[in-house]
Amino acid sequence: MNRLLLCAALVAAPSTLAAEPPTAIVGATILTVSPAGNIEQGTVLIQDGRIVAVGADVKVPAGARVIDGAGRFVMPGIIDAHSHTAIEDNVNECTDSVTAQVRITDVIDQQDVNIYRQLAGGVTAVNVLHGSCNAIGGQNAVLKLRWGVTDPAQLVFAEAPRGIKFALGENPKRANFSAPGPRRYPATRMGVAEVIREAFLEAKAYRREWQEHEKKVKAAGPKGVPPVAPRRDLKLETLVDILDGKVMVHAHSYRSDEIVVLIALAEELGFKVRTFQHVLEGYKVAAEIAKHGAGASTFSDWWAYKLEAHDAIPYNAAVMASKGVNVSLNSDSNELARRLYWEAAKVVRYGSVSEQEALKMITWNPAWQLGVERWVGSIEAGKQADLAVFSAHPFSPDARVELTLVDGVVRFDRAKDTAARNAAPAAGGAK
Amino acid sequence: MKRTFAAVLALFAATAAAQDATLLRGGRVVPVSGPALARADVLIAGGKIAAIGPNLAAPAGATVIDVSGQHVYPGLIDGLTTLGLTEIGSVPGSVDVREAGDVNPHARAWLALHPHSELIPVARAAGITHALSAPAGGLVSGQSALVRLAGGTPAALVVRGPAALHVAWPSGSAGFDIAQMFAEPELKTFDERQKEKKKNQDKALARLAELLARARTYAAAHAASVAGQGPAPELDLALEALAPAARGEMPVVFRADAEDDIRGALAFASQHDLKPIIAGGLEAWRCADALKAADAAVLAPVDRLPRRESDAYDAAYTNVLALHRAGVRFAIVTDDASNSRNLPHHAAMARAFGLPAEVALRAITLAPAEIFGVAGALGSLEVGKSASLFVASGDPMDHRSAVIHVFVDGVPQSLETRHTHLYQQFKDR
Amino acid sequence: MRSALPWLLLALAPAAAASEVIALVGGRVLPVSGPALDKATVVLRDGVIAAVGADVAVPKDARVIDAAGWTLTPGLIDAFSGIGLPARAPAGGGGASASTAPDPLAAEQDALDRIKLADALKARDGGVTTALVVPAEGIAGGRSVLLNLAGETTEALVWRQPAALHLHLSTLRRQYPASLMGTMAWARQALLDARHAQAEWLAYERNPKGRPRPAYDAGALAWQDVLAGRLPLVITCTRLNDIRRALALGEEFGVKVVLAGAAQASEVVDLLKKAGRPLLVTTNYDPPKAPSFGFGGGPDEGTEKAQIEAAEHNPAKLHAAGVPFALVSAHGRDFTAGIRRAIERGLPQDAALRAVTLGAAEALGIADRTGSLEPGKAANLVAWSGQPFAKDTKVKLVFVDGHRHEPEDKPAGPPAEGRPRAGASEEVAR
Repeated sequence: MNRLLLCAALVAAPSTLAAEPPTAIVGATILTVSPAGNIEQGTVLIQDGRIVAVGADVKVPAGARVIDGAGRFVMPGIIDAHSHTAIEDNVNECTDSVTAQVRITDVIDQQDVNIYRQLAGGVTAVNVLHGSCNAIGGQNAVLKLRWGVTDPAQLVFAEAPRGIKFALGENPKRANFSAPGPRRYPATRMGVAEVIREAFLEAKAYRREWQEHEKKVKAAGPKGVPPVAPRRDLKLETLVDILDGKVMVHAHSYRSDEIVVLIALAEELGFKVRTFQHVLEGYKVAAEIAKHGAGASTFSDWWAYKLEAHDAIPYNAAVMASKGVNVSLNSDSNELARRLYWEAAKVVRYGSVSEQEALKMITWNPAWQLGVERWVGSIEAGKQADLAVFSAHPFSPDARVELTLVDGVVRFDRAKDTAARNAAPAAGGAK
Repeated sequence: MKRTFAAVLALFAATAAAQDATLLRGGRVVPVSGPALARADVLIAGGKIAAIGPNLAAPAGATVIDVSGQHVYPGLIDGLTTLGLTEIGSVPGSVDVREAGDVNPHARAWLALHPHSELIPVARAAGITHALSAPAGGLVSGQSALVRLAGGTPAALVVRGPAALHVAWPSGSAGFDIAQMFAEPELKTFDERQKEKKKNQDKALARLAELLARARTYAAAHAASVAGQGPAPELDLALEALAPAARGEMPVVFRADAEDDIRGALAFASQHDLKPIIAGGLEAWRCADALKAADAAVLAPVDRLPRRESDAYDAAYTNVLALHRAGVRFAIVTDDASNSRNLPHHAAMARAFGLPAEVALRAITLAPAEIFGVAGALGSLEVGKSASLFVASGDPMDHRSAVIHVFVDGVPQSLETRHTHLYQQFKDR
Repeated sequence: MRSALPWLLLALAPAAAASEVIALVGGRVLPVSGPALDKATVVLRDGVIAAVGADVAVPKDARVIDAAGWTLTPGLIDAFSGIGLPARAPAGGGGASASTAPDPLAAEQDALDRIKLADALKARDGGVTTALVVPAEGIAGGRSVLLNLAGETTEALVWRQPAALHLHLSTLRRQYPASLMGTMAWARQALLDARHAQAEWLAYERNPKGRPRPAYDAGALAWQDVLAGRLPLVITCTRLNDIRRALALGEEFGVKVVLAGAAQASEVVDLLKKAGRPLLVTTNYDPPKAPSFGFGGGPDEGTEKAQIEAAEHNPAKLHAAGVPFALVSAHGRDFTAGIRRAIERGLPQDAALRAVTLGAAEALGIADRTGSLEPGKAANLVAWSGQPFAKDTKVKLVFVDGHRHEPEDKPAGPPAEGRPRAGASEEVAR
């Protein structure tokens, strides 16, 4: 088993192999967010970017780099399922109601200081999404916050499946501002639904065109003159990939009606919604969301900033979870992303979710929503060593992140950070 | 017990007789003005705190609430909000925060307070009993009121109005305008942009200085005419409203985040004999010395991003710690309305990053009361002060803690909100 | 082959070249291709450099110009410029009107069609003899033209047309693409469409029977030149990662790209060395930008300032790292000032000169015909009153294809002491 895992590590992370000594975090309270629950006085052993052992009786091999975890709490790295961090230039391509051809992976900025700031809040992976300007927006990028890499490609969470942003309601219909020029279609929720239906019908026709072409190529045989291939259309290609289940749909949504309408559309057209994002009225249609099999990624308590957020309640996460929906708490904000651990704590208060379940809403659940739960989201042997080390229980008002590890590499170290700032005066805050 | 209390509460809501007494029995009492009492009673009578101590006798007819194992705190005060002035951010019809034009000293928050706003019970249910409700935007935004978050008319909400005059310190850069996102922009080099910014700023400040001078002249002429020593000046509501601040009788809250802007505001205030308060103050830590010298208080939210890329990641979290160490007066505020309930969480972040817990609590209770001159009645649990307080299951800075009872001026408040109603309606659907 | 080319030029282009013989005598000569020569002579004949050296005999038929006290360098090549093009339209009118502004997405447009001869020739006053003229606007605002700045008509200036196809990694405001990710997607689709159009036409030409006539698409044709390697694709990079984006796009479509702008190139030296692509490095360190909005105390001026300073240090760092590059004006207002700033920031004088002469010629693939003072190359030459690019130095004379141009002595600043006024010491009969 272990050998198998090591092989996987070698394949996945060739840069971290060689003779790196193992790392051990010892003597900490480990919030595994796994069936193992919380482990007092526990050890996490890391080798080649992976967790190789976790428990109270783990032997630390000689030569291991030891991190003293006494009095500290270790939890899985926080995963933010809704982020716009590290995007260069515009978050939105607003000029059309369907822009499935654009890709966030083209515009990742590895130097965005918010990567570091969020690491300092215990975040290790983020779902970087296109904005909510249009019914079908651009393709996402799931990133690991490997702050310090020089190539943006090195931030990409290689194992993550592709995803795309959809948006419903006020934003795609441009309810809250007016752009100059003629009004862009759609201007109502009716239009948003029709835009999505039309796009997928077009995609299906495109898929047929290519299927027929493949048939002709086959019929022509290796010696015949091959027919000219149809025009490749990057937008329709992406939509076909959604239909083929290769791209996960993350649908920005607020009102309960638009949520169930998209579920019906998806079931009619033959695709799945992986997550509803924001989904502030999800609590009204939690059963329908659960039945479709979608996750829900919501704010803990934001409300009232627009009409479709007027029925938002802080009990939303709790109610949806009680109906069997996989629920995560997201930030959609470079600021809020830095304190998602306290966003999770609020769910304990509103709706009496257990602490274990609340922690899951910022770790394992968003990992599932992004299709990466096999690799991250809990502290278990075999998983990638994405960890946040806190000064106190992450829900406590004294909690502060001391260390954040991504793939076993310490990417944030508060002690080093403060030492560096004391060496360089006027770098910030009170000393 | 709970059921009895609910019945009592209904009674209170109906009559709210001030002479009715309530005894909170056996809680951990955190007065803020002094050390916490591990187990004590709080007697509420006549809307005020009548007594605090162990084993108080319940007056005849008093409602006794067992709060053992629970914690009693003075009501929280959010020193910068738009509560009562806004309902749904994106719906202009529900928002009364920013008056048209740039100079609105006569925009008075207490004339637009919506006592039945859904936002008020939501904040109150989190233990927030009072808030500064302030207009925003433009150059001179208007006058704020310190309000209690309970009452059926605007007048019933107001504790102190005017509380302060609010000025948006001109930063010189253009405010956000969605139209600009679509217009072909005018392209300028860095130096050109800097020069333009300075020019805009100077222009706005010259205008402000002139307004203040005219307000003083206007007030003097008005006083003279009242004394029969001259003709009455031509009526000017803006100058009339501006005069108290111009004469240093009312504090001026300058909204400023950047170091240069804060220093600029302090210098301007000194030059024109104003009583400055800084709102926002993201870089207050960079000029704590100047703030101390000017004896200017700061109203600072904590959960913010640092202003500069080169700043330490926790620069906003440790901002108030630097002020605390320098002896600068400050209150922790949300600068929000719908999220005002998160006030204690701002304090918690400052605490997690080094601010002593008792200072953090003070920064959301007694400190804002002092800054707005209402500490005689609010901000701490002291005999004779308003019985505006709440009972919680734990430390309010702990996000897991629940608020169990809220009193405003001795009147128990329902903890039901739009949110609990919707929760009840849908939780079992 | 290499040596044959100059001869070809001579044979093919007599109309453009000056037929007189000129000898510049006694100046300090910086040939760039070799060491500096003091008190040397340069002979120009029929628009071509005939001789360069300290011991060169002055031909009998030569007009002699006393260059004592002057520095002679090759003509400057601005390998990415807006020379002769109307200024970009500012907001609220003025400059290029909407009707003359190019389509932001039509790669088949030609900068040549919009060049004003008189405006173009003005560039000679700064010592520029050769320029790649690139449309500034849009994403793909058209093809550039390479000009040598001597001639009576715009066409007479042309050295290579079209010279390159251009992709700016920028965005549009009210039409697609209005985001950087949109620009990347648009470029990809443009290249795919070009491939597709080519396949359709090929199939049609092979067997037109039974097929409808394929659509004519001028844009697709322009991009096909790039796909076929007939025309270089120059990608303008304003952000660090634009360099990676440009290289990745080139790799995806098998296109060799030239990188322009690249103010952050010195941060990715290894990548550039590996890619080995020509690099046109901007001296427009602080290009005018749209104002940003005042959130949270306004824009982070420290970051902006640092970016400008980093751009100013970029040429010196690239040089120190051994990356070859051309320095270009990139539509900046003052090319000479930009070059001077690079020198002030540590770029050695000779490296700066090379970057705007031979280095630029190499980047454009024209080093066989210009870029240095060598016999056989085009008679493009600048006579400076002193050290080239220095603040007080003036351009005394410019030769393009052997045609003499004397910049007007602008009474802008007070004349430096001890320097002769223009025209005081020029022609001496021998």
